[in-house]
Amino acid sequence: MRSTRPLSGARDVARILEERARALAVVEEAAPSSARTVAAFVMGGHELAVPIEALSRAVDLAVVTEIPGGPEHLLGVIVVDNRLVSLLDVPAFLALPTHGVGDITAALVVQHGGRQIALAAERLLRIAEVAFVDEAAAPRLLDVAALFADTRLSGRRS
Amino acid sequence: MDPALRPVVLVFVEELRDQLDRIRATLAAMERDAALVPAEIEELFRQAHSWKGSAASLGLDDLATLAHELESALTPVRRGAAPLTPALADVAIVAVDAAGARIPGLVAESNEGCDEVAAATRELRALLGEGAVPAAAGAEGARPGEPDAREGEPEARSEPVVDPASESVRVTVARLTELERGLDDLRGLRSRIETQAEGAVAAVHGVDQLWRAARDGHRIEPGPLFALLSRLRGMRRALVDDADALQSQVVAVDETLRAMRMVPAGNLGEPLGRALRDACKRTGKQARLVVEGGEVQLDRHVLEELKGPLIHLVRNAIDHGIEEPEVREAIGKPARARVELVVRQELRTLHLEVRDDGRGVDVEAAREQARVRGLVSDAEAERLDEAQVIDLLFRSGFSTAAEVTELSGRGVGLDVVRDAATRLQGSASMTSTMGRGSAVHLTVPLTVAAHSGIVVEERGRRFALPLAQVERVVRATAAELRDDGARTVFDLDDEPLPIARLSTLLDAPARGGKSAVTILVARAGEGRVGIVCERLIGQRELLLRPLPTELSTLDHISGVALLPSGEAIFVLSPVALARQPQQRRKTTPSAPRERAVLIADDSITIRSLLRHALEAAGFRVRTATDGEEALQLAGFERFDLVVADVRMPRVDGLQLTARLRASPRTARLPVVLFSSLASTQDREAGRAAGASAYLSKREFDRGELVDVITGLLKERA
Repeated sequence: MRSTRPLSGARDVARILEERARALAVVEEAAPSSARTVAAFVMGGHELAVPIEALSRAVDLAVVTEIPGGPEHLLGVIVVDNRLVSLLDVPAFLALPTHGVGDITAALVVQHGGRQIALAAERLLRIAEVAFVDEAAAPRLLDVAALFADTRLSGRRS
Repeated sequence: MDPALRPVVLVFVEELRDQLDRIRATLAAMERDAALVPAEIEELFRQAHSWKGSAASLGLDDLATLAHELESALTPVRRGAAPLTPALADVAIVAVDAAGARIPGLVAESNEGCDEVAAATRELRALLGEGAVPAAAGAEGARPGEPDAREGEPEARSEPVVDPASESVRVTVARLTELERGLDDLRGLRSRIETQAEGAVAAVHGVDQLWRAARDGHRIEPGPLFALLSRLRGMRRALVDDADALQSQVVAVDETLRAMRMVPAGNLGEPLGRALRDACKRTGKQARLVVEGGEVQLDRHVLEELKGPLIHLVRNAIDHGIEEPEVREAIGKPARARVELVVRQELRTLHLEVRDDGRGVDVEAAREQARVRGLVSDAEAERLDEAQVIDLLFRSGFSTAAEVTELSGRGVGLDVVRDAATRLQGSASMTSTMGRGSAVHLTVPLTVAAHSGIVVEERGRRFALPLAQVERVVRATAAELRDDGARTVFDLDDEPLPIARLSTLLDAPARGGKSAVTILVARAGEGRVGIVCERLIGQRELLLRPLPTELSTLDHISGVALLPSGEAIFVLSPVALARQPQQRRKTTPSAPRERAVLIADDSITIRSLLRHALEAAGFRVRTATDGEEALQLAGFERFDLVVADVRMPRVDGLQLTARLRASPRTARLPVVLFSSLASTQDREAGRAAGASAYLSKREFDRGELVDVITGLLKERA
């Protein structure tokens, strides 16, 4: 069985994603004050984003160990740097409607307060500065702190 | 600070921890028994003096001064001129805690803890300035303008939070030498195994030569063949010996490492004593803590995990179990209650019990509360015996203050205590006698750092169970499991053994009829449980990893380990499995034969998704990560249908279909292509390759998939 490995050896994720950003992103001339630098990805047909400061790394997904009797929003655990990290299906967690199934190929590992969780991704899009003026517009910005504080992930019994 | 002194400071930190622990222990002993004061106070002074000297030599003047003031405050006690009053002991403990609070700052080279040290020093000086030992009530409050070290919950000023990465243990040179010897032996074994590997290369070369000769039609002489066989036999013997030796060495090194992690259970006496003292002050009750079995050695991790729950139990005993002094006297009990921590070791299992001589649980009130709160139905409430009612106190539904008040007994947060025991693969139970007291019993494995586990398989997934809890393994057929009212049981030695099926965890239907099953008979708290799985893989040494926080609420998972392959494996808790309601799922019929489906997809999520969908529908599922692997599996296993992705490495779905069609053995095997490529041309290509159906991942519908598969299987039949 293959092991989960970093996106590409010594290359760091920020540089790779920035290269993609140069190729894909439309950089605004003057970003409004609500603009944030985010890593965007697609999952369940939704374009989602996490603030770059919460991003630890991106990993190719090869081995996922299912969690027996685990909740549906946790797809399993993966090994990152010899540590076990849960793999979260964000659309399932947020009860967003999904259509069909897509190949989950990668994960964005985010961190907050000393904890880490991996966000499953069908596609990694880009790192870009995005103005979040309309909550309904893609990408949907995830509040990582709120994610970890949710009782379903906080380890507290609800 | 001079950077050169940095390593010395880290050594000092370890010494200081030890000294503070010893001082706490002496204070606890002196408080418990005044007769011990002459001996214990000398030990306290030895430790404080050593702390003062080391701190001063490193220029840590604030800590040196604190130790000095502590000595000054306790000098009258040492001279026999004053008793050690609870108030003086409190001030001393504040000083010790303040020194402990400074440790993270010393490690991190920050000012953390300096304020606490300064406040404690001021408090000690004020005490000396008053010229007398403060009266019991006099030392309670903080002076104006100073932080009140006693405010809030007792645990708020308990052990400082220390980054686990900076934690260390003291190891004797003898232990290190033992470890080095073990490693030397392992190195010797490695070199022997390397020699065996070289021999294996030579043997393979010899076999290769014989094979080429045979292939080219040459006659194989028995001599070289016999020589080769002898060499291989010798290698086999040597490898078996080496494997045995390796196992022994690994066990020896493991034991040495475990021993390094052991600490005496008596270390619990100080934090529990403090919790008891604080709870008594808060409630106006009187109690003393007695520790039995303090010499029992337990794993540092077990101790840390259990410290919180045990403190909780002690507080509970005072808050809800122990009566007010006047009430106790009125009913003929001593005004000062007794709370005991009893620690006992049996083989590799640790038993801890917190007992009190308080009022005990009002079972009828608890029964009524359980009924009112809807934890049990009216009929169930009537049926429950006393032990079952008491066990309800471990349910989280009982964990609110209002209920406890109404219960007039114990029950606050007992679910937390049981959770902690379960996390350690142990159990928690309670006994109580109305008017005479209660006892909470915790049973946990002696160590948890490394586990021997039994690895089992169910529906292609592997799990581990703690070896220490598995008593025996029994093979049976699914038909031998029977329903016994509310549960499934297996008759073992004429006793019904409650059954927990791993298939239930996976939401898969249980096997029925003559399907072979493996039953692991495991200890689960006071009882036993039979854990039913498909296959026993074997025993493995498991190096446990921290469980991600978000999984900590899953009671049935007690840990997670990484296998040498890099694969994660969950360790299941027999105790929690025994408690888990066994869904009354329909078992799959033994006849007609369970249909087998082969799924080929390079995406783990798609494989997982399809597996879930098809297993829930009663199919037996095997998976392959690409077309090549699917062809290999189809070559030696019988399948009724194949579901394949189109885009896959090595052999794609179209090639796979075509090659299955080309083989007489699999020519009629239905193949469903399941792809995100779903244009008319893609579907045409699929049909041309011989696919029986073509489904789009973008329009995935679980019901449709099952319908299509069922329809194809019917057609084929």
